[in-house]
Order: sequence, then C-alpha cells, then structure tokens
Amino acid sequence: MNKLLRVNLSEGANTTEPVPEEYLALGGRALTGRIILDEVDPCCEPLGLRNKLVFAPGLLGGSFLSSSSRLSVGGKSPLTGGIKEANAGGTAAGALSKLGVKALIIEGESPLDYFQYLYIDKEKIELRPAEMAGQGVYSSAKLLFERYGDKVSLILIGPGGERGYCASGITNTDMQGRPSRFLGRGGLGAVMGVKGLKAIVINPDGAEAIAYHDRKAFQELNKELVKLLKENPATGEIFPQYGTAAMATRTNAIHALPTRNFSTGSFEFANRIDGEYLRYVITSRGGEGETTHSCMPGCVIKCSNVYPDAGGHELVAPLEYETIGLMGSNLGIGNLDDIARLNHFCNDLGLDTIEMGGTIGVAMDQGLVSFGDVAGALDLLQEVADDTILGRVLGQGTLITGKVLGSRRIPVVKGQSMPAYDPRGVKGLGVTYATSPMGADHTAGQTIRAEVDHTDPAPQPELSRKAQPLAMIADSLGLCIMAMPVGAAHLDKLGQFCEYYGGIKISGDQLLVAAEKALQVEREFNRRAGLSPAQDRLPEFMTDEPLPITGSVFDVPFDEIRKINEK
Amino acid sequence: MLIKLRLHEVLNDKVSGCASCVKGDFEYQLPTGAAVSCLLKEIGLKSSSVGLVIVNGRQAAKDYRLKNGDRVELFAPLSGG
Repeated sequence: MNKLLRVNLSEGANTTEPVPEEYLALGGRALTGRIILDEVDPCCEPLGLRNKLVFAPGLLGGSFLSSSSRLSVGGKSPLTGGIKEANAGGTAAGALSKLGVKALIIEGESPLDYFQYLYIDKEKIELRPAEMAGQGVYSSAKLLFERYGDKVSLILIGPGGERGYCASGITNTDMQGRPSRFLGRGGLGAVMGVKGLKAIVINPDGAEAIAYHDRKAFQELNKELVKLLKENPATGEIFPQYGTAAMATRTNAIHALPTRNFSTGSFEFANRIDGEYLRYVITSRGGEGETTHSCMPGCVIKCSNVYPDAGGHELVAPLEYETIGLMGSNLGIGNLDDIARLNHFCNDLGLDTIEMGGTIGVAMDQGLVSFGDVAGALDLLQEVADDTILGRVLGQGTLITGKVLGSRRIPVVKGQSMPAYDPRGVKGLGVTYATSPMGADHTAGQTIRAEVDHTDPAPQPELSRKAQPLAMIADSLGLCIMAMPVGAAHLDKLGQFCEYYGGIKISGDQLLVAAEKALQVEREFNRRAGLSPAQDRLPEFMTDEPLPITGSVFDVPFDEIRKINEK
Repeated sequence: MLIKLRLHEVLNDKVSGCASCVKGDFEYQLPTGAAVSCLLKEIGLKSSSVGLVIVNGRQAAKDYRLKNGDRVELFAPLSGG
C-alpha cells in the first residue's frame, strides 16, 4: 500500500500521492484520524465543504490473516461534532489494498446537480454520473454489479445519506455482493451524501499480487494464530455457532440489554431473540439460511449469518446483536423475523441500525407508536423513506428526535446513540461511552469480557482505560474486535504480522504506545473542535433512574472518569 | 441441597457424565454451602471455561456460596460487539 488517492469533488479532479513518511506505520483508524487532524479544520461544519472523508484499510488490510480486512472511514461527525471513525468487514479494504491504496481522501463538494460515483481501477480514477441516485443500496449495488461484474467491491450510501440524514452510515459489499457491511456510526453517510458522492466502485482486476515482506514467516505465524482462534472458546466455538447474538443472553442476564428505550435492562422475550434461538430458527428453516458466514475473505471466526424467512428465502444478512438489541428489545419487539425486516429496511435506506433503534425507541417512549408495535416501527421508517417532515426528524437520529418530541430520556453521548449495552448494567462500557473520542461506541473499548462485577463502579475506569488502546490497535490493523480475545493476549504476534506483511517492525509494547498516540490525536482534534470534559458524561437518566430489578444506576464518579482523558 | 442449573450454549456440550443434562434447567444435588467453584468441579467444568455466573438473576463470583433452591446460570467467556 504505497499511495494516497485524493479526489476533490469541487474540482472534479484527483491526484495520486506518495505516502508521507510519518504515515507509513499508520493504518485504519490511526491513519484516518491523523489525516483528519492534519487536513480538516476542526471547527468546520461536518456537512459542509471543508469536511473530508478518509477511507483506509488497516495495516494488515488485504493480507490473508484471519479477520484483518476491515475498512475504516473517518471524518468530522455530524452527530458528535468531533472526530469519527467507523469500520466494517466486507471486501472493499482488500480491493483498495490490492490497488496499493493506503488511504482514499474525498474532499470538497460537487457543484453538479446530480450525484456521481467514483470508479477506481489500476489505471483509472474517474467520477461518473450516478443514475442510481435515490435508489436503495440493494438495487444500486445490483446495477453497479451488472455494469462492472461481480469481482468489483462497492462502497455505497442509501437515500438517507444522499439527503444528509445524520443517522446514515456507509456500507460496502461482502463476498457475495450484499451491500450490508456497514461502517455505520457517526453519520458519515451524510458526509458522503452532501459531497454528492453516491458510491465508490473498486475494481482490483489486473492489479499485481500484494508483495509480502516475508510471506513464508507470515504464513507460519498465521497457522499459529488460526490455531489460537480455533482453541479460544469465544472465537472458536461461540461466535462461529451463535454469532454476535450470543451476547443477548449475557446482557439480558446481567440486566444490560437495552429494553424499551433503556428502561429495564432485561427483556421478557430475550430467549426469542438470542443466539441459541437465532441458530435454531436458521437451522430449522434451512434454505438460504446460514448460521455461520465470513464477512471478509479468510476469516475463520465466521460470526456472520444469513437469516431466512419461513420459506427459507434470505431476509437479511447479517442479523447482528447490536441490531437485535436496538431494534428488538429496545423497541419491545421479541420476534427475529420482525427485527430482520426492520434491519433490511434500514440497510436499504443506508441508515445505522443502532442510531435508528435508539431513535425509534425514543419515539415509542414519547408515545408516537407503542412499544412492541412492529407495524408502527415500519411506518416510522416509511416516513423516513418518504422524506416527510417526521421522517426528516427521525433521520437526524436519536438526539434530534428526542428533543423534538420533548424526551428527557435520550440515550446518547456526544450526540450519538448508545449501542446495545445499558451502561447501568455494564458500567465499564459506560465509562468508554463517556470518554471515548467517538461518543457512545461499544467498539471503542469493550469491557464486558472482564470477569468482574459489572455493576461495581470501582474497577470500571481502569478497565475502560485499558480497553480503549486495545480497540485502537484492532481498528488500526484492520483487525476485527471479534479476534481480540486472542489478539489482545498476543500483541507481539500482531506486531510480527505487521513486519512480515509490510516490513513495519513493531513490538506489542510499541503497538500500545502507538495506540495511545492515536487516541491523543483524536482527543486533540476534539479539543480544537470545542469538545471538552463537560461532554464526557452520560445522560442524567442513566445516573438518576435505577434499573427496576437490580436498582443499579450509573454511579462511576465523574472525577474518576475524567482522569482517563487527562492521561 | 438442591440447586437449579442452566448451562448456556456450548457449555451444554462440555459437561460429561451428566445424563440428566439436557438443554434447559435441571436440578443438581450439592453439599450444603458449596461455592459455585465447587459446582463447576462437580460437573467437570474448568473454571476458565466459565466467564459469567448468574445466581437468581444476579451476577455472582465463583466463590459465591450457594443456598438450597438457588438458580444458577453459567456462560462461557465471551467478548465482542
């Protein structure tokens, strides 16, 4: 990966640049963060001319190491007002890596009155008219695959992003061409939309094979890592069998499953939406259903799935825990078919299911429709699809919707909706929500794996402080956090992979130091953008309103929380 | 004392020599005052293969001393998102 591609939509021009030396050892989130700090005015309007979008594979992107080809996208978030990175599996990171692209920088704003898409292959970088503008991501992807063949990778936004809805994400295609691997968080789909860019087509055909610094050593180490992944109970047994939905039983058991707009922490129908039941439904329906599925080439964990309807036809793929939590229990919906339909609808509109689950949860809490009312929830999404005034409000996400509807129970941090862990049940993650430069984000420093009492406030700041740089390491290498039960225990091996792949010599300890520096870069951007420790807080209903069964409130002292960002 | 036990997901397959172990709740006889760790030994589960213990709907430590009639749920270790 030896070049930066820069596409300026204001001028319709592009350049290919060498990678500056100070960027060589950066990848994924660390690289997008650094470019944004270097190039984006922190005080710019996120949906304005001066914001940029930066796509970057991780340092191990395109390698055959399991779970290592996640794609990062960064920019200034219209939800948080701070720096943002979102990432996903899929095929686009691998395709960019094959073309030698270390980062793709999208800047400016198209003056044209129609959307364009960007086409990239080994010889050309071109902006072309996007006649599929206005269409959902599924039909848009179909059209682009018909035009360019099924070997290309696509990065896409839906109508939500085109309209600048801040609940919009960016998606990319999986190995079967499904446009459903979402870089969902932070509203970056809206940033792409206001620039006038509908899609990016990446055609790696004819690209030279990636040259490994030491392919043989990489292969040997990969065998070791695959063995470790297969021996670990999480990555070798639970995720491959039950997917991320396995989390639902656990969060329900510790009263951290968001239920009815974060009211109770446990759900009476949890056993109808958890991993065991999901597996049972997929297995018993057969057809196109798959209980286990790789979202990117070479992944041995295979935590993804294909969820079929009663006739065995694909309803959505994947159906993940976060969606189950936010669009299931959080809406009082205890039926996987219903959740799958809501998921598919959000995908097609290009909306983040976490943000929209939070949004509809608040709308239900305020009586717009009742909890458990599936038809009502679908109607609300239809309002978004139809671009009605109500739909525009909902499309702006949880905070705006909550304010318009007069809610005092808005589950956001720094303007971004909480993922599917109630912070009164997993307080360490609450600390991460409060202190991460990303806002409420479970992937920024997950603590639920620790064997502690998750309601005891004492150990939580330290757990979060240690988890955040580990998340940064994963995001910077392009490594899935699902592999981190193994990766975190073998940081030196991760460093060796970087050496054998790209010739970047780095130890486990140095990876940690680099991750801390990358976090500092993000904090610095946020500081310059005007964010302060005043925003490092959870909403007051989390600190004041006890969960009914456990009586737990979020009671980690803010003086302790604040210290995380002082280090 | 008699406790009720629920093993989740893959733990069902790890408990051997327990003919009554079927998916769902089952009852198990233990010495009075036995800790969760004792229960794990009794059913042949390594401590490291259990990541989360729930007793009567609340998270509990492995040194928690059980009482007659307690309902115990065991989960394998997990992380993720």
